[in-house]
Amino acid sequence: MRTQKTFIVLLLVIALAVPLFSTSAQEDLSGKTISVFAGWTDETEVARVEDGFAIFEEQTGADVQYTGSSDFTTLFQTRVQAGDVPDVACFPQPGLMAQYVDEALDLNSIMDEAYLQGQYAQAWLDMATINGKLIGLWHRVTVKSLVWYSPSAFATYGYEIPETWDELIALSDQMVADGFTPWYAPIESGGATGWVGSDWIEDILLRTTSLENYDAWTVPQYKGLERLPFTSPEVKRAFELMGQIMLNEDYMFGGTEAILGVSFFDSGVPLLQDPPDALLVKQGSAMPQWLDPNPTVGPDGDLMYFYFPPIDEEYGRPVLVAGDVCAIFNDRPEVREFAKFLATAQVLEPWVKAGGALSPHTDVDLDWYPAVDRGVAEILANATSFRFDGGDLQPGPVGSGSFWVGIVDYISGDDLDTVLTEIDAAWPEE
Amino acid sequence: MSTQTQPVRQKSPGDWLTSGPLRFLVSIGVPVIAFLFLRWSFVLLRDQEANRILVAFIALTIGVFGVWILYLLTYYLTEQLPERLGERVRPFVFVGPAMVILFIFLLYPIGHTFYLSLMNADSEEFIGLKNYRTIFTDEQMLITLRNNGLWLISVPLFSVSFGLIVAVLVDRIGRWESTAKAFIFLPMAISAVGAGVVWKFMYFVRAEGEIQIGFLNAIITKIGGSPTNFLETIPLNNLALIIIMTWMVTGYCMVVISAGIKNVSTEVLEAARMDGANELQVFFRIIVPIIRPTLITVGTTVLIWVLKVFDIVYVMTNGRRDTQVVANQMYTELFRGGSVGLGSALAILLLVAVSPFIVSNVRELRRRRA
Amino acid sequence: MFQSQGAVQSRLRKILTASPVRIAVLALCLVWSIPTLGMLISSFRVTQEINRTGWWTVFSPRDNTEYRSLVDRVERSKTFAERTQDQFVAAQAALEAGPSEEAVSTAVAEAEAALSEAVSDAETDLAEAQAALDANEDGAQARVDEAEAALDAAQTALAAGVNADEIRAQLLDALREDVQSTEERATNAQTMLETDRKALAETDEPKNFPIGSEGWRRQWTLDNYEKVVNADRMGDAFLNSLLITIPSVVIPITIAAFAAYAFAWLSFPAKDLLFALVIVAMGVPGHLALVPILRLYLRVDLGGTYMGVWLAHTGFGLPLAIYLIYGYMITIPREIMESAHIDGASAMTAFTRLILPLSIPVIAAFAIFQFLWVWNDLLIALVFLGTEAENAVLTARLSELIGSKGQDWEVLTAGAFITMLVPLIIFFALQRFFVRGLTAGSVKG
Repeated sequence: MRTQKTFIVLLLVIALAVPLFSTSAQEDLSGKTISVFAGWTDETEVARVEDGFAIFEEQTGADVQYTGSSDFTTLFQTRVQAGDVPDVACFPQPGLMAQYVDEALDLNSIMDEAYLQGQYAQAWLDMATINGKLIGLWHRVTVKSLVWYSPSAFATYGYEIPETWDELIALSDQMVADGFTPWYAPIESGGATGWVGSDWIEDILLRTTSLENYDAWTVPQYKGLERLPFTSPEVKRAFELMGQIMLNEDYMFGGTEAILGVSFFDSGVPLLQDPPDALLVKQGSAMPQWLDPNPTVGPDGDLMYFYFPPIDEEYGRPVLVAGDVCAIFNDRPEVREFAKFLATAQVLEPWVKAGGALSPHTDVDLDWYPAVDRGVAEILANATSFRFDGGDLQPGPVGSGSFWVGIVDYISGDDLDTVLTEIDAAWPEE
Repeated sequence: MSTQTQPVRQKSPGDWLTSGPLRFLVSIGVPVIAFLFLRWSFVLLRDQEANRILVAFIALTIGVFGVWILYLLTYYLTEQLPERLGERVRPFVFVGPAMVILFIFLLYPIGHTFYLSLMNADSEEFIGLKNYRTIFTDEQMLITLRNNGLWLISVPLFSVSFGLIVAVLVDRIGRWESTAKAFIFLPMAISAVGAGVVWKFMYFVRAEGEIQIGFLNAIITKIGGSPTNFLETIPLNNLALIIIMTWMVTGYCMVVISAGIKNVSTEVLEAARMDGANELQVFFRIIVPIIRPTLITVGTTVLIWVLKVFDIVYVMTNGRRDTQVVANQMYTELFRGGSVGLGSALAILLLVAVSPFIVSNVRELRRRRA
Repeated sequence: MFQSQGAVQSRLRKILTASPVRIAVLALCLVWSIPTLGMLISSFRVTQEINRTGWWTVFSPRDNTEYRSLVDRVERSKTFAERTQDQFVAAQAALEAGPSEEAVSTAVAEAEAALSEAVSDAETDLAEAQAALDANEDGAQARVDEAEAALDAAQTALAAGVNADEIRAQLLDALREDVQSTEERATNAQTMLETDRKALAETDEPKNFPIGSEGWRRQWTLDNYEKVVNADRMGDAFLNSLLITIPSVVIPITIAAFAAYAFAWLSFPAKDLLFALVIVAMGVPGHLALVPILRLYLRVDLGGTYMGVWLAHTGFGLPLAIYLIYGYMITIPREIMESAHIDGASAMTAFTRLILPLSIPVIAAFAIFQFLWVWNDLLIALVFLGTEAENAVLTARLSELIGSKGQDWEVLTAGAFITMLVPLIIFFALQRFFVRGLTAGSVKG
């Protein structure tokens, strides 16, 4: 009884005083902890990422603490503004990383320039250089320039893989003549609806204009170029070429209703129907993972892909990529070591082996890839050039704002010139 | 349950302490000792990772009872003050802590935001009122303001009316009242992301001829219409979003109004009915006037929420196809790599839009006092 | 939930004969719950079915996917066979008509153009080789010889001209090939159609499953809930959520009740101004406050503590709490306060003994909402408590399960329903405070 009373008194005393005073967070004295913050939250994804970090932990004994949040963008901005920056942050879009160019460390100042050039192809380093400051280490990448099809359907109905744009259109026409609606391109993605269409524009643009123009369209401010506006004939042509497929009621299964109304996660569904409702879907290398149950991918599997064919010969076989990029925010010896580790393919080894990730590192072993991913990796390796997803590079109000809105407007039947002017209007003034 | 109307004069807990310096010492000493002890014990508790449940328990006790003890302690201290002074200080014991918290958590950030609203996109250059000018001249912004007007009129109107009707009706159905209320209340318990999923099952559209898995389109095609994309069709999409907001907020209106109706005494109602008033008259002449302050309260809060709402729009359309609202625009500018200056200006605009409600509420406060 | 036919009918009759008020309430409740019902039902459905058919069809399910697929196949094969047949017929007609003169002349012109281009190409090559020779490059002589020979050949070919008959023959060959390939496709399509028809003929169309039958039960599943409940650290997350929510509800209510009492019944300087500030504070979007508060927390070492989260929720919930409770307190009849005053009760006594108990309904109402908001909050917990796994609240765990892009509807539906359960329990628990007669009793007394 007595102890109970004492306990109550004790509680009361505590209750009385705690609200007055804050309690301090634990002082970190070990100095060997590296905090990594990113947007990976899916349990399998997180496991792959952490497996990669574990290799570093084993090598050095340091503790890499990964935390992820689906609200990464908001949280990271809040933390940076409040002055609570993690050691390393990995961004889903390089355009997002570019906002923190002042806070991020110059990688050339913390590791050898030659080392970095040995680990990444120059194009990757260029894409992570903001205002002449190299801040990004590329992590997992995916390839967007793929068209998915059902090998069995192609065999049944006697179709062949097109090698050029004209062949692609001829194939589509043949399919229409055979009574099919060849294409399927649902783009619904809640607040982000439209990004699928922006991938189309980027892929087409890479095939119809020079890389310099593409850079001028996406990141003129970092390359010292004059901006190529959406209203330029080049971009307009890309929209029209997309429209040639997207706005063609004979081509598009479900018409505009399905494009705007169906979730992009269901992109692959009609390919897998028996009989197939549609035969061609342009989507990135991640598409099969959205389907439940996961389809088998391969020449004899449920699904297979081919390279989205070139359009104008002189621009070769470019590839559109997307991926995550990590920046370093605190300069400590252990963080430097970790940054060096991030620049090696090892960090991705578990993920690459498990499938679903491509490594941008030069020291990646092609044998790590499962057969399916190896094909995609080869497409990337054989590309005459590659560029990053433009919407991810452009300033937020355009790249993840007016561009997407413009796609929806164009597909809804709005006048193209008006749509393009409206997209341009959101470009931030200097 | 009825409350005692003749409160017993409470014995001051400090009576046993005669007076003067001892009393003063105790007032100061107790908190200091408590603080030292607490500091030590809390740090200790934080160190022991295994004792999570114990930490939780103590933390809960502190959180729940600590505040009460704080108030009683301060009030006790004011009672030790000279009568005159105590009388003056006492109301601030009641209202003071709230104002301090409000100031730190909400009012100070406004000042910061106002400062940012006068700066450019990355807060590095002073540009005066340019952001405000942009708001009222940009064509897209005008659509946004129009939408906000639409929301401001329709959501409070619908939700307060429905809430009132339901609250009055369920008040009369006896033992099923809680259950009926729960159905209306349910949408409030859903997060914005959840609401997005829920309404997907309503608004979902597939091409003509396909099986519609969206409820509304299934009905439409059943009666021979052609499927409609509610979220991309102008101006239907605004209505579609407003319906979601109304659906969620009505539960709030109903619960608060219902609490207010419980305050209308049965005697008054009985008396009116005895006098031959019909139910409509009872409703408009008795119930509505009595719960008028509650209705104003509910209306004001819904209006303010409507001004602040962004997650529904963010999840469903993110403002495309002319559905943008100020709060979502603000969120986009602030957190999605837009212009911090413009975002801040929009936030200030929202606060200015609240001011008419301030005036009407303060007037109500004065009217009551008179 | 699912009663037998007879019970439903008798229940329905009972409801219809009840008062119109009940019917109205029932109708409103029904309309309000349709969206939620869709989610609830979907949370018990098999994943593939969610995307295939509307949730309302579960009441009369029919497992006809296979059959429908067969029907579709026949339909598709029929179209395909017809179309390929058409193409075959067209190809035959084209072959019979032979290549038109126009086609031949176009082809001839094209061939001639190709020949002259070959000549000019060869000339360019020769010129380049000559230049190399002038520059004394190794092996240049051989190149010149080669180029000269090529030019000769090209010029001979151009001089010989294009033979229209040869071109015609080539075109005819192409047409013949066309006929062959279209015929092959048409035959294949015909075979396919016959196979599909046969398969369809051998299958019976399935009927609706009666409620409770094996097939009916196959439509339902608890997998979605298992996925959510069995996920790692769900128990911890639940505990964290409770730990954050309870004080975050009680603290603002207490502080607000004191303040509302002062606003409603005490007089003090600057009351109007302070009250106006409360309303202004209601209009402050929470997002604006995150950065300044976090900065403050870091300075006073409050980051990552429960205390910090409680205080933040208190701050965000406080204006509405004051406003709501105040709005209710002023409807308490003045006579009650006056009688207390006459009795000589102190302000504190009047508050704790009289006003607070009388305000229980509105406090209960606010408690429900504050509970909801804190419970459903994701951002504040993430910002102030940190994103570490062991600190995750229920909503955070759930949003991780769903994945960063929002796929997996089935997990989302089940998860949303689980998170709704606790607030719903709170709602029902607090319902008993919504009772009439609190003030009535006091007035009489």
